[in-house]
Amino acid sequence: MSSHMAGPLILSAVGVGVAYGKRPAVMDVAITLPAGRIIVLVGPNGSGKSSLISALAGLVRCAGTVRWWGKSPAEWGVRAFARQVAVLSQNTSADPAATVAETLLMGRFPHHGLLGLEGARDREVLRIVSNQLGLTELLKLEMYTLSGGWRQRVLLGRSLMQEPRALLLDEPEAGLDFQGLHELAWTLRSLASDGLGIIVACHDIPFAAAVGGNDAGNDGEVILMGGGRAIATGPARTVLERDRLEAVYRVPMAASLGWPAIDFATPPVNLARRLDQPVDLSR
Amino acid sequence: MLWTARRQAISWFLSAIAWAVTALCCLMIGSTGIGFPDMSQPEVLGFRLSAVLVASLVGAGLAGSGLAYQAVLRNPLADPYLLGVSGGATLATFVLRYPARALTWPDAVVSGGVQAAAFFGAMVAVVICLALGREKSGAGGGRLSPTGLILVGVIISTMCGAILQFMLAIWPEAGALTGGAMAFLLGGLQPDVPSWAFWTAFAVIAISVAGMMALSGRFTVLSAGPSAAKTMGVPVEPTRWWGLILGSAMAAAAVSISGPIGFIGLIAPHIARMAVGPDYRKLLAPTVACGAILLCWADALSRGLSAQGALRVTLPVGVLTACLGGPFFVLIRMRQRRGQSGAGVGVGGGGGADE
Repeated sequence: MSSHMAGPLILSAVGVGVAYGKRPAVMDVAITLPAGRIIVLVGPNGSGKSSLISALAGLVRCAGTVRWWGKSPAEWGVRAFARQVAVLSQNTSADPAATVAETLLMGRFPHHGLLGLEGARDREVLRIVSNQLGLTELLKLEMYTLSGGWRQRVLLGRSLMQEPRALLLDEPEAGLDFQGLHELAWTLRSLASDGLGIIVACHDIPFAAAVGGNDAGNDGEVILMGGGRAIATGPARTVLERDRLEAVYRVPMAASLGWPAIDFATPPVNLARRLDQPVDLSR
Repeated sequence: MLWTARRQAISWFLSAIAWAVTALCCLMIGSTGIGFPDMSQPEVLGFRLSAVLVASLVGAGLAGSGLAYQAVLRNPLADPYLLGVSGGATLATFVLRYPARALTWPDAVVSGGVQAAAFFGAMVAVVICLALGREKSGAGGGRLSPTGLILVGVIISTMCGAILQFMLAIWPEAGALTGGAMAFLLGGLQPDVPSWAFWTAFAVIAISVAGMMALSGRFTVLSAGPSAAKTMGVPVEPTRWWGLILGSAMAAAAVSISGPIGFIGLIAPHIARMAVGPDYRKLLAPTVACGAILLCWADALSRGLSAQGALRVTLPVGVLTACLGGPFFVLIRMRQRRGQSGAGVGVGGGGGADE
């Protein structure tokens, strides 16, 4: 863990454990997240990644201590916590009849007053986030008209609309195409360089390596989970070893099969985003 | 696109205008004929005016109640009538009103007592619905099931109706109370509602609508599912309870002067949704106005029909709303089945995995 670049401490979690009835899902996991760092959780299905994220977000009861800037989520209170930490869960849904803009603006809720009225600040954040994620052209579309990948981008955008200082993302890469994956990696890096602390659970090893930091040289960290425990922790290069992944995932793995793969080291060229489906803006 | 203070003001203003136009039109319709009433008989205008006001108040209350239940249960089929809330409130009001009539209590006490009893009956019904409408265990453990809720609601409605009929049978004189037997079973509007009853109900509904304004932003976020809503800053359980309390208060206030009028709470939010989308902040004003407008028209229609001599008696307005609402319910169900609006507009939140 290289600490020379680490910013002020955001999250300190010690001895985190989650159990559903008698079945343990997470056992004795410790996480330290400074500002500006991306921590990537990888591991097989059922290895406890989502449960760990829920525990850190204060959504499930857990053993151990979870402190965000020194306070537990309960001590922060629901509303204040939502201004600090945004969570993208796997099972998040959006009203299919709501427009993209309405869905994004939901994320402004913790900043609103009693009547939920929106103003200039909401407009500005909407502009920034929709440009960042290439959603500007889609704002008037209803959610049910979007493909899965674009819906996922809107839900990530909804989290960013909260203007959080930390992000907990559970499989944000699910359903994204290459371009989406490439842009997501760079978006997360750019957010981290702005000082956000990010914890992201994912299944894509090249993506994990890219945001968990070896080739871009950013200050990232990977936690490999298996059976509810953190099996290995450290930079992507040391954690994501072939032998270890084969043992944890129980599949034969090859370093490279010679197929083209995303070059995460090269920044996305296509800043004017294209859409993967026809767009009708006449509504 | 943004929901600014100005847009909220416009929303309420337009809703008020739409209601005012309807109210004016409905003043022209009555059992004495169509057209502006003869000014030589001022009592006719007064009669129609109070009929319009009572219909508007009850309609607004039922619509607001339906909106609250739909938000809290994340179920577009929720409605105070279908959930048995109207039935529970009616039964409680009847039970209180019958003995209360025999005693000479001050109006204020009776009025408050009737409201309290109606609210009590409504809350009992909704709590039974919540308790029995939950999936026991398994994948959806603890989750409210839309079908389960409506099933329980229908059972509660039927039982309350049966108990009412039983009481009306053993105390035939009770049927002669305000509205008669039909009003308690099917819902009916009497323009001669005592003013204390009207104003108490008005106050309850007005306060509840104001409360809904403060809750509507939370309701919108709640549509993303309870745990997602929590991560966006919504205190989920208090929001649900406040929604149920305000919804029950509005239903109870409406029912305490009209009996269980059905389907307004279902139809009004749906019509509003077609116009302004699913955001509850944007839905509140049009929904309340739409409920008032619908019931005004239904009431005017029932008075107009008796004017044409088509019927010998004034048709209870609950009969009309049921005639209107039944097919509407079928329509919603057919649209849901066709999956036109994606994974069911809010039925269990589409994904359903969230709680």
